[in-house]
Amino acid sequence: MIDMTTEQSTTIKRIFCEVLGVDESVVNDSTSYNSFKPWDSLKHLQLVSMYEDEFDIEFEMDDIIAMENFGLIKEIVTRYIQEK
Amino acid sequence: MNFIDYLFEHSKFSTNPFFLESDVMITYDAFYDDVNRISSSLFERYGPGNQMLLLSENSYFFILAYLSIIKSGNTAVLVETRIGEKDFAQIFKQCSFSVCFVQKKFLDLLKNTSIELYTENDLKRLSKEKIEFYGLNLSDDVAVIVFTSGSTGTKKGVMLTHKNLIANTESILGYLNLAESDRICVVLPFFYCYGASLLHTHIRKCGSIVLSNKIFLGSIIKEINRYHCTGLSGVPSTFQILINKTNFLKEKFPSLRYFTQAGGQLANKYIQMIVDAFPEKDFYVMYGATEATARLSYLPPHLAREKMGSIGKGIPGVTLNVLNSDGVPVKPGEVGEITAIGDNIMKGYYNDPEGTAVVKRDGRYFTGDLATVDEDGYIYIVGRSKNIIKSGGHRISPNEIEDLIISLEGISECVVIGIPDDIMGEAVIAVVQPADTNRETISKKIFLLCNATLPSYKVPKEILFVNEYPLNSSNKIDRQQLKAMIQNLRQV
Repeated sequence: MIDMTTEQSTTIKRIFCEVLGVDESVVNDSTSYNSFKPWDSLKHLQLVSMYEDEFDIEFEMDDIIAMENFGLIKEIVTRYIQEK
Repeated sequence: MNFIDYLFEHSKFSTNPFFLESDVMITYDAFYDDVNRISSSLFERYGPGNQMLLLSENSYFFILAYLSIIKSGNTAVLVETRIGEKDFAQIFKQCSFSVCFVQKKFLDLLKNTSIELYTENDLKRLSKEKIEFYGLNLSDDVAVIVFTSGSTGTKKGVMLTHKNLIANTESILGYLNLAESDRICVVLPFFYCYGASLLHTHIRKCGSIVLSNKIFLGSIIKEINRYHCTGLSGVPSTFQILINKTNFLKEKFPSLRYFTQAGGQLANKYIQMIVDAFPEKDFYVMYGATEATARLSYLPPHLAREKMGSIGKGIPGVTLNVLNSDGVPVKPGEVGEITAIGDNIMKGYYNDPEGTAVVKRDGRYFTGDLATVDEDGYIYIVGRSKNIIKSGGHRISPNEIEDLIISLEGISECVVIGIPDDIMGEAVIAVVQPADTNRETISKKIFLLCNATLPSYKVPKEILFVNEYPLNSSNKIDRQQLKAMIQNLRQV
């Protein structure tokens, strides 16, 4: 399990919900790109830029492709923050 | 001739691969057999002349449903998968669907209907024993209705006949030099005319298609190499995302022979980067409209540098003229409207003779795009006569977004404009004149409302505030000046 501060975790979720325009209560770790209609490829690009700007990180392409559910987003974003 | 019989004329018994996705490969003979079974079954159950809705992302399901509907003499009604509930309800009211083909993911849009539905899981229900079924000869009948955004914000149904589709496919093949060995990497949706044209031309030539619906466009870099694709077609944002967000320009793509680009103007700097990075590959700049089935013009690749910024000239079979307000072709340097004559021009807008009469007069289609020509007759677009934003290949009506935002309390006026964007071609920006409330609260409210109501590409990327708008001589808001103001502000 990767540790993350509560503050980071809250920010990751807040950004996700803001970009997708959805309420935090409908999002959990298994919320996935393939079945969650508000999450399309355009929103995914916006998510990537928002996380990059917020945490001053830059994702590798394979990681952008790998972020297919919200749990993976948290995991990958956290890994980048820790490796900074 | 039935459009689908035309498409399969030379390919129906071929054992060439037609379709590739992940680990699935389907050959032409099996593909043709599937289309035959489903179309004959549709014909038997429903007869010809019905409207059938098709709502799906790119998949083998989409392709089978699309071709079978048309082959059985029915009309395929295509809508974008990101459609909002309000627009969808409006289309549903206008059309009388006998059957709907819907990807499971989008079933909630149809929850209150009693119309018979087929999803990707039960297409087999329609599959009967193997037979040879020839489509009816319906050249002037409507094969497809494509719903597209008009400048007022209401969706317009563009009616395309079998003849339109055959004519445009022939024209495109007249300049694109496709062969059986060609394999296109498809990232554009088939419900969009440009995406559909890729499907049509490759079936006609017995070439193959590779579908890519991944979460991030960058994944096509691996797929082009893995499947040995020979072509890649994109809108401006396709190329801009690849250039700005991936190592696209550093790749070699040994199998790739050509690129095509349409769906809005790709800035010259990006065209330059691509032709510099891939001097051995052909880059086709093209121009078109749903109302023209898809394609209207192309710039031959060997002129990509010399005529950079031009959309070229009319494709074979299309007479493309830039006319001034007197209806006379413009002289080099003068500005006029691009107009087109050809068998690819739509029958008209569905249920909208007035709207049709505005854009189609004496068989000539008026595109609404303003352009000039050079001494050699090459056409350069300079603007639009209609108030439309082009973002990510979509046509977006500012009016629709403005009306929505103004419906909120605390906003006295709102103007939506498109300004150049590295990723989207144009980005949607809402410029709001607030009443006295807190700006941050208003911003939040606007985003919340837009995200809940509009498809993602119509949601403003930014919301800016002004106290006064620039006005033109007739005291109306001057959109051009506002655009310039915002662009200046961003450069500072």
